[in-house]
Amino acid sequence: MSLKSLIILTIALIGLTEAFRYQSTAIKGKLLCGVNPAKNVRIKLWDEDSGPDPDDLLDSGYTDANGEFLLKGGTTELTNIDAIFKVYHDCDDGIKPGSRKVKFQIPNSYVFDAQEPKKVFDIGILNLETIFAKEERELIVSKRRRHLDLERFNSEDAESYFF
Amino acid sequence: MTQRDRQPRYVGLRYKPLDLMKSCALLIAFFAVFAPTVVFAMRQQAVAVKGILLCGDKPAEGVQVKLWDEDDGPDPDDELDAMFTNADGSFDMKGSTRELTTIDPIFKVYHDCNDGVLPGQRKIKLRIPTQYIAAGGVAKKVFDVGILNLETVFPGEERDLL
Repeated sequence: MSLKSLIILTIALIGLTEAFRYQSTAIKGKLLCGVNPAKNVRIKLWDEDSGPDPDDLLDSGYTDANGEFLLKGGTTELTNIDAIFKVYHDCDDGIKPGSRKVKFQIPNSYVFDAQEPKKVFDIGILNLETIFAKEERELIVSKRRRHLDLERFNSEDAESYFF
Repeated sequence: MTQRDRQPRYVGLRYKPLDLMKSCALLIAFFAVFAPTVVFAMRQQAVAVKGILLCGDKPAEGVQVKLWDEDDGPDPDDELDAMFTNADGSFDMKGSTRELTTIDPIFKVYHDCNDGVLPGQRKIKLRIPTQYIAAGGVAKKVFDVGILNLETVFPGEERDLL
């Protein structure tokens, strides 16, 4: 390859890496099961990517004793991230194995090209008795492993297998 | 003339009038007993829903909300109630209908929150769980959807162009 081609290629690659930008988002809210707070409900914040790029887990946690939560995270992406909030719960689920799984998308106006999100998206107060569209079931819901770095595991399938 | 000629021939119906009346009465009695059971299998069912809608941190006032019973098969869906949210974004709907099977109550919202200049409205559908359906004309418990931020992109969201 000639020197000129090499220089052009290098500049193009630098340009491409500059196009990748860190984007962050945050979500808060409160979950109820009927009139009672939905405590200790598994919640996750994902960036869903189309194409070959695997989805990224931005944050995960559990609702507190009041059913309240706050999740925050970010990742470096070329295109706009699709911030998805996932809830794994047993409200109105009796003795059935696994959990009900509901997904919501955070609007793009709450995804920021910054290390810290400027505004936190407030999803409001949701009653998990509600039957949302496209509800799924998750048979193995991963437990929190404090000693492990969650960012190492980027795909949801890996989490289910290992935990 | 023979013996046979002197006796009057039986003219008219094969069945005597009294027998016919008895059969009719029996038939009517049969239906009178069993027909009401078919009618009673169609049962009155009631449901009620309430909640508050926000657009971001502001109350979503004047948003169209509806309460429907979705039916499978040939039976058309029934609109049980409809209203526009109050100034504080709150709403309260109830209705009842007579159905053979358990009703499938659906809460629908048609809104323009975070919808810019796009034509039509965003449409959200949420199903109300069966424990909130009451037998009779009045709902016993009101289903509270909570406080929903309409900026949220709900699963299965559609667009309503009309």
